[in-house]
This record gives sequence, structure tokens and C-alpha cells, in this order.
Amino acid sequence: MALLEIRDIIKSFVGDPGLYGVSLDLERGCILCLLGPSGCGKTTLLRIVAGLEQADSGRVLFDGRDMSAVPPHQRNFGMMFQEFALFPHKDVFENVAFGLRMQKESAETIARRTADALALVGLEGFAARNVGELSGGERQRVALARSLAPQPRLLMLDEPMGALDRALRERLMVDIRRILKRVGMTSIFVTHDQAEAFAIADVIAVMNQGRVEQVAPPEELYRRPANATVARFLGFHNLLDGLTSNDGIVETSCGSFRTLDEAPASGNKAVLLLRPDAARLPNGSPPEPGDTVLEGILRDRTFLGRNYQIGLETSSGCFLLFELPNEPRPPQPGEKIRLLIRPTGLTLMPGNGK
Amino acid sequence: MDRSLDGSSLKVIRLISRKGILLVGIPLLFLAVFYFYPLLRIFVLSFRPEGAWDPASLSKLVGSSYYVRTLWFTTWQAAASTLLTLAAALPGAYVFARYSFPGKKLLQSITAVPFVLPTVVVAAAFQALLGPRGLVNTWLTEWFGLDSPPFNLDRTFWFFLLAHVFYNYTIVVRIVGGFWATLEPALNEAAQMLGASAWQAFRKITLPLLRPAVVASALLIFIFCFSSFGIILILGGPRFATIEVEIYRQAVHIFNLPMAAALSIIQIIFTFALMYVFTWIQRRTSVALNPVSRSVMERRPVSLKDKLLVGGNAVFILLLLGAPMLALVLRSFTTDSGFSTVFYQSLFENRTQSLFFVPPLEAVTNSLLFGLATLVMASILGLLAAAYLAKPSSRLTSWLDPLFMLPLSTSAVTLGFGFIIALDQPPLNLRTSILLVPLAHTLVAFPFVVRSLLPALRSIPRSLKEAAALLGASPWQVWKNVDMPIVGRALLVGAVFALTVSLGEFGATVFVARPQTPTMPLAIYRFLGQPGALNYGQAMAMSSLLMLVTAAGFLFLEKMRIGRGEF
Repeated sequence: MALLEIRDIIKSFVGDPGLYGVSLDLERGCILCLLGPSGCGKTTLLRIVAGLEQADSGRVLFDGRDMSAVPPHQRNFGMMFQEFALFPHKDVFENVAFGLRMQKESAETIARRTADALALVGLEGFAARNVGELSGGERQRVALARSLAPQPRLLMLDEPMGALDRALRERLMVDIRRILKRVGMTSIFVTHDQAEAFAIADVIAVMNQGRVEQVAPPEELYRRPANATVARFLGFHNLLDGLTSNDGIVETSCGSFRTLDEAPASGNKAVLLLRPDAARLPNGSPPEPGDTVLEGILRDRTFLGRNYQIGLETSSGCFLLFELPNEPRPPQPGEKIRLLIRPTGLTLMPGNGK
Repeated sequence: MDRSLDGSSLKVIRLISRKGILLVGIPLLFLAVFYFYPLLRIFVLSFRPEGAWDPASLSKLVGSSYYVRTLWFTTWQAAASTLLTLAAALPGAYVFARYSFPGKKLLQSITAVPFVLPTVVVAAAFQALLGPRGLVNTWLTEWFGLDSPPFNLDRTFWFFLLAHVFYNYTIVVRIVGGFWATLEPALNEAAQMLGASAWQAFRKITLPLLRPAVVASALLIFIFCFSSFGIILILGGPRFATIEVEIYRQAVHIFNLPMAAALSIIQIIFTFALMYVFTWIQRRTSVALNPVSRSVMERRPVSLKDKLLVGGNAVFILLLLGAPMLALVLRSFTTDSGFSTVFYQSLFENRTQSLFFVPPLEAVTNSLLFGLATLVMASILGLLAAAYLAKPSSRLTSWLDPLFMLPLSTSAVTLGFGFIIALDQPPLNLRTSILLVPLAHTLVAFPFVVRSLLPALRSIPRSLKEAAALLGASPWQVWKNVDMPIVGRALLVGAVFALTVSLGEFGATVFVARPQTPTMPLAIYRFLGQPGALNYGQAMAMSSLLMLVTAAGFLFLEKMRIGRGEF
């Protein structure tokens, strides 16, 4: 039995998108990420688990116990808020100690555990600082320390990096996962940034318009998005409508591709995803068995640093985006190009007409 | 800036600033003659009662038990009023800060109207609702066939306490509610997630963060109630006297001028000290608290608890603030023989049977004339002062700004008293001048004009004026073509403010108006003091008219005001 069970949560708002029957499980010590565009209901779900909002129907079970009648302050869950919500009239020490004071711990325990929490996030020596004097990254660490200090049974993080700039975010993503794993904290965190989700989570639940579209570990999510919505949200562009035929062949308007996926019965509608890393230049070597050959004109060539992004216009009029290594250098825009697509770079998803 | 200009422009700038001194000199002179000189006379009168230096008589006065009793009563009634207002209005502040609900705008306007009503109107309104002839008592005696009115609040402590709450409710809603709305709800939620109950979160997080706003509003209410005059005089009756009321009685009834002066000094010292603390707190409260846009944090009441809270507050506001105003209007149309406009008609008839009574119509005319005179004088003085203060701040402007606000922090009664003891002998014998009332009103009104104009003047980007100057406009042309069109609306706001202040002014007018030329508030005061149903009805009718005019003026101001008001 999972530690946290979310069962059929329904919540409707006037005007806003609500939640339409959301169910999720979370194992002890596991980090779950709720990933989705803004307004998809992920923060609302988090607040319902926290007890800050009431669901219209459905249940939240923790350790097998129904939490709906338990007020937020008695759940012993921790939460890190989007803008951190540090208490401006208290210093760093008192912010971190607040939860322990509420638990009526002794003065020594409070001093020790507050110091431990600050050490855990690398802020030794910051205890007497005023929260107004802290940088964005320091504020985030104080918020993390404050939510960890009372040793909650479950930690929730609402866009924990939303307020930080990009460079800082990339550094802190790794730190957060390391800290959460070190203390073995069962956590749920909410983000709209897939890079953040991939870096921190053990399991990702992709949400869209109040529903969970897919729950999977990061690698699996990337390799096998469940449908076109998830694929699009993960940043994939090359999504082709097609029809399945025999032997895993999919007929699309851009040509027929051979996939390794277990093909549904022939004649079904399907969406084919061509991942950007699926293509390579032939360089004189013949295609390997299973490869699909795409021919067309190279329209754009953008240098991205680690590789090139190219836009290919096929003779059938499709426009596809791929990433090619820097060596060998792709041809100039306007030149004819021939690409080999390997079957492992393709994913077959159910079509719109399910 | 100077370095980038050539010599001739420098000369022009010097000239403007010299002219500027000249301009600001006129309001300064006005303040000197009609504010500082009367205050000086009060000081002289208290320390030299018989024309000789005699601090002994002052210390005898101050040491008397009567003096201490008056001061003590003034203080504790102000404290009680403050606490009661806070208790009544804090839930309202919360509701306005955190919820959005249909009718919110209207309810907010209702809470704000009492604050601008003349004191006599408020007194009349409470008489109309809860007085011996008031609606509640009339209805109850009729319905239950009682022999005497069941509520005997008239001339009790509770009566004027209630009126003080009525008056100052909006201060708490505006200051505390406005501050509350900028506090992130996440702070409270964070506390709850850390194990604090709703009450603990309020006590440990919300309340400490609100404290500066609560203290500021409490102090302001305390200042207003400390110098409460009309309310106590009319609703409290002869048993109660604040320092203000006592100054009036000593000066006008007993003619004990040294005593009145000695009381004025205490009043001046106290209000200045309190005002100083208030502005000090106000400056300190501008701490950055992560302001969040309001719409995000206002939510609709959903749960039963929310709905009860919002609904309960709406009912409370309507009962406390709406009912007296409504009762006033109803009562002005109620006669023994039912609904009638007879009281209004009688206002415009010339009844000459009373010897010392001036026809009510004349009071209306006087009020309007005085109001117009005040409007003109206050606008001119305010414009001159504000035009100078709006310049890039120098040491002189930072000094002058609070100086022009001084009349606001001086009680109206003290101002009126100062007028009658200072301006009654050559070279300034204005005792019989018809200008005395508008002058007193201008003193009270022109700080409002300055405060209305300054934000608008300061909002004009300097580049705009510089552009006009580079295009060949003279300083006067710049003022006429750039400043004036932008400032026009603000000047209108200030002018209406001055008119409203003049129409309702009571504390100073009661000293300086001649018996033959009463204003509307004075006429209402006299009507209320006379027996008989007609006098009472006329007081109600005239108060209703005055309420209508001031409320309309206020709603106009709310619509016109640019940005955030400075007071």
C-alpha cells in the first residue's frame, strides 16, 4: 500500500479549471512531480493534499488514514511556498524554528534541530540574519530548511524555483534532490518546467486541464509519452498523424515509417512521434535495416552550442525539426539533404480518434 | 543640472526661485496672521492672564482637580472610543481586504461617508435613530404601548461612544484593511503548515505584521476623539465635557478666558505630540512586505463560515453606519400626522416670531456664501503653496510642507478661540467682519487643497516642462500650458474639498460667527437645543440637506481623486 493515496479528487471553481477525478499514489521516500502548464490544477491538487483547500469529492489517504477531517496544522505535512512566504518580522533562526516551537519542543531541541536544518541546506552562520537581507537563493534555502525542520511526514513544494533566475535554478535543482534524498523525505513538488521535473523527480505525473495524463519515471516519460498532449508538453515538435498497417509500419503524410512498438491492429489511427535525436546524416554509409530515409531541403540551421537544430522540408511538404551533431557539419540552408531515421527514435501513440 | 545650462538660463532659474519665494510668501503670511498669531495670543493669555507675567495662576489652574478631571475624562473617553472602534472595525477590515463579493464597492462607500459628515449632522442622525424622539424609540413605544421611550441613551456615555465608532469606522477599514490586503495569504498558510492553528497563525504572524497599521489607525482615532467637540456637546449634554467642550464653555458661557487659554495649551500640546508620533509611525510602516496584486488575494466567500463572516459584517455596517443616516432622512419627513415635507417648507419660510432666531433660509445662504469665499481663498492659497512645494525638494520645502499642515493638527475649537482673542483689537480688528468665518474655514480647508494638488503637481514629469521650455515657452507659459491642464482636476478636487469642509465646519464657527449670521451647522445646533417638534423637525431637515450636500461632494471627490490620497 502506498504511503499517500489520492482518490478521485473532484474540485470545481467558478470560472477556473478545476480537478476532474484525479487519482495518484506515492511511495514512502519517493519524489513525485506534478508537471503541467499553468492553470492545469496542479497547485490546487497540492493545496488539497495540504488541507488548505477542500475537495468537492474524493479522498486523500495518508498511511491508510482519511485526512479530509484533519486541519492542515495537525497533518504534520510540510510545504514550501512559491514565493517562499518567509515571515518578514522574524530572523532566519526564528523562521526555521517556528514549526518546532509549534510542536512545543524544548529550547535545546529547537536550537539543535534548527542548526541541523540550516546546516543541511548549507546556511550555517545565517541564523541571525534578517530575511530581508537574503538573496533569492538563500531565501529558497531558508524556506526549505523551515519546512524540513519539524520533520514532516510529507513535504510539498509549490514551484520551489519559480522565483529564481535560470542560472541559479539549474544549480539548485540538483541541490534540492540531493537534500530530499539524504533525509529520505517523501515529497510532492509542482512545476511547469520539464527540465526541473526531470532533474528532481522519481516519478512524474503530467497534468492537463484538471486531469492526469500520464504517470511515469522521467526516462520512461521521455521515451514513451502516452499521448500527443504529453509529447507536446514535453517539448516535442514532430508529431505526425497516421494510419497503422502490417509489420509495425505507419503510413503518414510524410512517408511510411517502421517502428519497434507493438503495433495495434492495422488500419488504426495513430500519432507518430519523431524525436529530435532520431535523425543522422548518412555520411556514405548505407542505411541500417529498419531505418527510414527522409529526403528534402534544409530550410534552417541553428547552432545550439552542443549541436545543430535543423528544419527539414520534405518533398511531400512536411516540416520537421531535428538535432544533428556538430561533426560532420550539416549542409547550408537551401541545399538538398538526406537523413536516416532510426526506429528507436520513433514512438507510436494512440491517435486522436482513440 | 545647473552645469548643463548656459548663463542666461541660470539667471532665469534664479529668478523663478526668487519669485517662488514671493509666491509662497502669501500663504506663509496668511498662516502667520491667522494661525501663529492667534496661537501666540493663547500662550500669552495663559501665562499673563492679567497682562503681567504670572505663571502662578496657570499652575494653579493646571493643578486644580477640575482641570485634571477634564483631562482624565477626555483621555479615557478617547481611549474607550478607540478600543471600541477597533473591535467593531477589525473584522470589517479583514473582510474588505480578503473577500470580493457583490455590493463591495457600495458597502465601501457607505463606510466612508460618515467620516466626512459634519459633526452636527452625525449628532442629529444619532438623535434621529436612538434619541428620545428617535425612530427606534417612537416605534417601540407605539408597538408595545409603552409610556416612556425604552432606550435612554441620550446624554449618556454610550451615545457619543457609538457616534465616535460611527465616525471612525472607516479609518480602521482604510488603514488596516489596506495594509492587510498587501500581506500574502501564504504567510498565514505557511504558519498553518508548520503546525500553527488558525488562531496561533493570526496571533504569531498576522497580528505582529499588522501591528504598525493597527497602531497608526488607533492613534488617529484617538486624536480625533481626544478633540471631539460637537458630538460630545450635543449628544453628551451638560454632564460631559472634553477639553474642547470645556474651552468653549469657559470662553463663551462663563467668559473665563485665561482658563480657556490654559485648556487650549494642553489641547495643543497633546494633539501635536500625538500627531508627531502618528507621522513617525506612518513613515516607519512603509516596510516592504512583498506587495501582491489585490485581485489575486481577494476571493469569493464559499464556505458557510466565509459567508457568515461577510454577511455578518455587511449587516453590521448597514446597522451601525447606514441606519443613523437613513433614520435622519426618515425622521425629517415624519410628523405627528404622518409623512410630510412640512419641516423642509418651514426652512424656507420667514418666521419671525422668535427674537434671536434668524430665518433658516438665511443660514443656508450664509453657509453657501461662506463656502464660496472659502473655496476661492483656499484654492488660491493652496495653489500658491503647492506650486512652491512641488519643486525639487530643498531644505526649505521639506520644512514648509509640514508647516502648512499644522492647522490640520490643531483643534478647530482652539483655532476659533484664538481668532476671537487675537483678532479683536487694532491693527487686526475683525471681530465684526463678515470675513472672519471664511478666514477660519480657509485655515482649516487650505491644507486639504495643498494635499490634493501636490501629488498631481509632483506627477508631472520634469522632462515635460523642460521640453516646453526648450520649445520656447516662458516659465509662465509652461505653467499655463503644461502644469495647469494636468493640475486642473486636482484643483477641482481641492476646491470641492474646501467647500465641503466649510459647509460642515462647527468647532471654529461656533466661536467666530456673529449671532446674526449663523451657518447651517450652527442653526442645526440651535434647533436641537430648543424644545418643540418643529425645531426638532427643522434640525432633522436641515441636517438631511447638509448630509446630502457633503455626501455628494465626497462621492464626487472619490470619483475624481487621482491616485492615492495623501491623507
